[in-house]
Amino acid sequence: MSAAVDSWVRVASENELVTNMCVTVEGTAIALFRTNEGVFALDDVCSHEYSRLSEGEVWEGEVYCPKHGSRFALATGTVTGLPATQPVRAWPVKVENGGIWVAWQSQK
Amino acid sequence: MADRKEPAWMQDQRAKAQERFDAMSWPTTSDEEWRRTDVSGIDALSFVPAPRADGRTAGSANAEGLAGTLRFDSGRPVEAGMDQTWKDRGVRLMSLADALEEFEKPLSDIFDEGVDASDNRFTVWHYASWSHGAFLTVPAGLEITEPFLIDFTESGDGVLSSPHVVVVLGEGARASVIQRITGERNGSDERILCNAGLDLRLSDAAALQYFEGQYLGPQSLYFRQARTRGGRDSSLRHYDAALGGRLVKTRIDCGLAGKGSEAFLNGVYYCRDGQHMDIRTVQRHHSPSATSRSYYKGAVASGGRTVFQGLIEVDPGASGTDAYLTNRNLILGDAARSDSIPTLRIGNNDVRCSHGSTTGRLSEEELFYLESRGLSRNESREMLVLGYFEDLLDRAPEAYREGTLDLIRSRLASAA
Amino acid sequence: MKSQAPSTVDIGEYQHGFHFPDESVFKTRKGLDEEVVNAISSHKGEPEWMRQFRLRSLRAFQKKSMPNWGADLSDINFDDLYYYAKPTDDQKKSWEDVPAYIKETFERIGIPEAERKFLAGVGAQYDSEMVYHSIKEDLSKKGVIFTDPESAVRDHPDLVKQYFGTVIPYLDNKFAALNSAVWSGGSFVYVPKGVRVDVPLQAYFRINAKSFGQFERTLIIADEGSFVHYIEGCTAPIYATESLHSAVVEIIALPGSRVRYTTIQNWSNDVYNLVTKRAMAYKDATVEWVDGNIGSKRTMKYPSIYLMGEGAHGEVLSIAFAGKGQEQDTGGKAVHAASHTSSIITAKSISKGGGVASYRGLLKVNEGLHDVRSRVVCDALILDESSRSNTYPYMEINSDDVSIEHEARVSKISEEQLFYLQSRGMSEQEASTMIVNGFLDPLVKQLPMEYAVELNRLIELEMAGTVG
Repeated sequence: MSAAVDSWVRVASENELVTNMCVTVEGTAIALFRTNEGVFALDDVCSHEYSRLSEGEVWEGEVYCPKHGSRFALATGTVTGLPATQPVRAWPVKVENGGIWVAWQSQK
Repeated sequence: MADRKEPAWMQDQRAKAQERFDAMSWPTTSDEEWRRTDVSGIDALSFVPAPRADGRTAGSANAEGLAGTLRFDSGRPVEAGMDQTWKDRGVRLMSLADALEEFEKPLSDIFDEGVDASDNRFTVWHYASWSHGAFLTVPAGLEITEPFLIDFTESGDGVLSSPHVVVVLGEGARASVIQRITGERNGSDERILCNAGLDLRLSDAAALQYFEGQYLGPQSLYFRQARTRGGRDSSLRHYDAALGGRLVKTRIDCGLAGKGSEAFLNGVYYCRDGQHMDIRTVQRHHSPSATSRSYYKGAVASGGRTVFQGLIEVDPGASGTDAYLTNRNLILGDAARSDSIPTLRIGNNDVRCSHGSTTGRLSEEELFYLESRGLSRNESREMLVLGYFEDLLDRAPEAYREGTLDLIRSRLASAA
Repeated sequence: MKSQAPSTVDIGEYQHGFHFPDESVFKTRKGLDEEVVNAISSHKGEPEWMRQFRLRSLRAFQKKSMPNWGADLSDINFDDLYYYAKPTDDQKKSWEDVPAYIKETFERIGIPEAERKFLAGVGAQYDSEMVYHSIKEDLSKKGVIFTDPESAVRDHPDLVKQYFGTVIPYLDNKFAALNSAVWSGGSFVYVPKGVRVDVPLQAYFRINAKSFGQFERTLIIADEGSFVHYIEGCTAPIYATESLHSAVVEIIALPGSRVRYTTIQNWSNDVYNLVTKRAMAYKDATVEWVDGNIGSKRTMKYPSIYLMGEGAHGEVLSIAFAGKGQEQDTGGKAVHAASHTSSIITAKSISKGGGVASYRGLLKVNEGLHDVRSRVVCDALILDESSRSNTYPYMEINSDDVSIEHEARVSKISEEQLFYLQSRGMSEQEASTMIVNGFLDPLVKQLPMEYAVELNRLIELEMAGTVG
């Protein structure tokens, strides 16, 4: 992860996020999760096939992709279960002033 | 969308296609053939059709070495010419709009078939809204050695261009065609959505060589559906060069409908950073003793993505089928992606059907060898990549071959 | 399933003195819901974490849709099946009830008398105690665990929790979810570091008819540097009592280990055989799947290998025979997730009498890898006009330092070869059979001898058209 981020982008208001939701920043879909450990943000698209992590179940700090069950750690995006073998990007996220902010780096 | 000048049968067809279009939605990645090409981000309907060509052909000129010429600029025919010998013997190369009345018989069947066989919204859209095109007919028995040239130059940011080409060869006729679509006149940021159609019909014993080249700008989108059908003892050699476009999705569906017919589909594709090319070939054996070959070679540079999907389908009655499908992919950089899906659906046992696919990169030994002979790294790569494509283009007309290779050369240089 | 007088081979009793509760007390019915799953779990005396796993799997099964590709599964009626034990009075089956073609096949293949009734599921006592006893002692001494999964859950919970469901998650596909909810029977194998198990472990050594259960769950863990060869199934046709079989096999090959898993499946021709089999091969490990599919009405099975560490190697050898009324939709998958890995998939199929054999496979290479090599070869023989063969290979290559080759061929028996053999005095059928056996030979050679012999005889029978 690079030290300098381009900017924090407000992607949702705090009460919009119950457990899972999907937001889009500059065309990139990001999945937001709320658990007892806090709020997390990952790339929405599973690294295995084109499925949405925001529609998956969360158990013990991991999200299970609904299509084939690939698992990713919410905090880091590391892949923790097959059939995915590549991680997804984890986005730094903060909750501030009633909003949920993601540290966005412009893609191009 | 119906034109004031078009015959009733075409207006009815467009209406039928429009109805189907309205009832469908755009393909998604859940549809098998579109699984690897996500079109959900394209606002297709935001592209505005070019004003309809008025059907009158302007300017008459025919270059040497060609049997006939038809050029379009932004959908308007701007040049049409033909060797008088052929004209006298009944050959016609004309704007499709002009051909609708006189050639209702072959055309209405062809368009009918096209609409019925369309299985996705882009193709149906094409049949509802095709904007300009070419019609070539060669009467029975005529053998023409010089090629015909059909040239489309597209331009206009945000323009929807839907050209359609129909070629019909009578019994025993022989001809060849070079067809180009280019669209980079106003700079590389120009976005054109080109939704093209192609129909080739070969009567018994006819022989056609068709050289297609797509050279749109890097921000354009290209969709193309081609359907070919060959009768007894007919022979089709089709070449396809896919070089332009940000997103390319094409299919050529080749029907072998007569005993002893043959079809050879050859293609090259060069995909660079930011491009996505999804190419499909279908060889359908309906009749016995037909031969087909599909030979597609692609190269993908870092940041590019290619998908090749091929199908050989053999009907139960097609004994004696000899069909082969080959796909080769050269990966030129580390962030490149290449998918290859050659498939077979065989319903008859008296056949010889195979397919092969290889994917790899340039051979280190060969590169080293050339460098040791004094070539720079880039020069060596260029030589190997051009050599890779050359065998496939070997028998194509020089202009087509050199034009394609030149473009690949310049892409290699800028990607280096 | 089978409720018998105590069988002569009962691991539980032998090793740990555990007794299963009296099965006749267990009430069962058709269909699948939470009540049935809870009953299964209680009946097995499982810990809470496994019960919860089954319930989550059940929910996944209910939510997931049927695959929109593959063999034709439209006849499966999920509500009309038993998912665990059956009413006891339905269990009585006698040798007389076994279909004639099954009995004849046993005869022709040469299955020993003693085994026939056992294999036919009529519950005769199958006394493999003597054979099995000495093998078991040997394994025990080496620290090898070879037991049923229920016992493993009880006796080796840490190992099970670490690996169970990690190779094939319950969400993987509808049938893996089904198995994860109602699994019963199967094998659990753990081979300690550096241990070579020289004798192939065979499923039906161990337990009675539970080995041929509908929802077997097998987990094989080969620790670093170990070797094991596991064999399941047999060439004799298994007369199944239920028509839906959905097994899950997970293999973990830790660094430097080697696992070979051989299956010969010959389910009776009313069975839907939908199996998920997957292996993870770590650094310098090798996994080989040898997969023979002869029976069943519909089989969908694609043994897979995920090459997770450098130096890993995977092989799939697949034989499919699709006769009248059958669809074999089989193949293999190799996913390269590490550099310096290689894979080979060889698939041979035969379609006859209207059968449909389809190869379906995936070769995937992740981004940023180096030195990845793979070769896939599919050969199909279509023996007559009414049969079909399909090939659907998918290659997804995301690295450049690779060498990937794929070829497929479809043909019929060569006229010249037939003519030659017939001119040597063979009938057309004998000649065809010889050619077909020759076609399969490179793969059949990989089977243990007695299987190879039985398989050849079985092919003879299939070619003669006297079976099924």
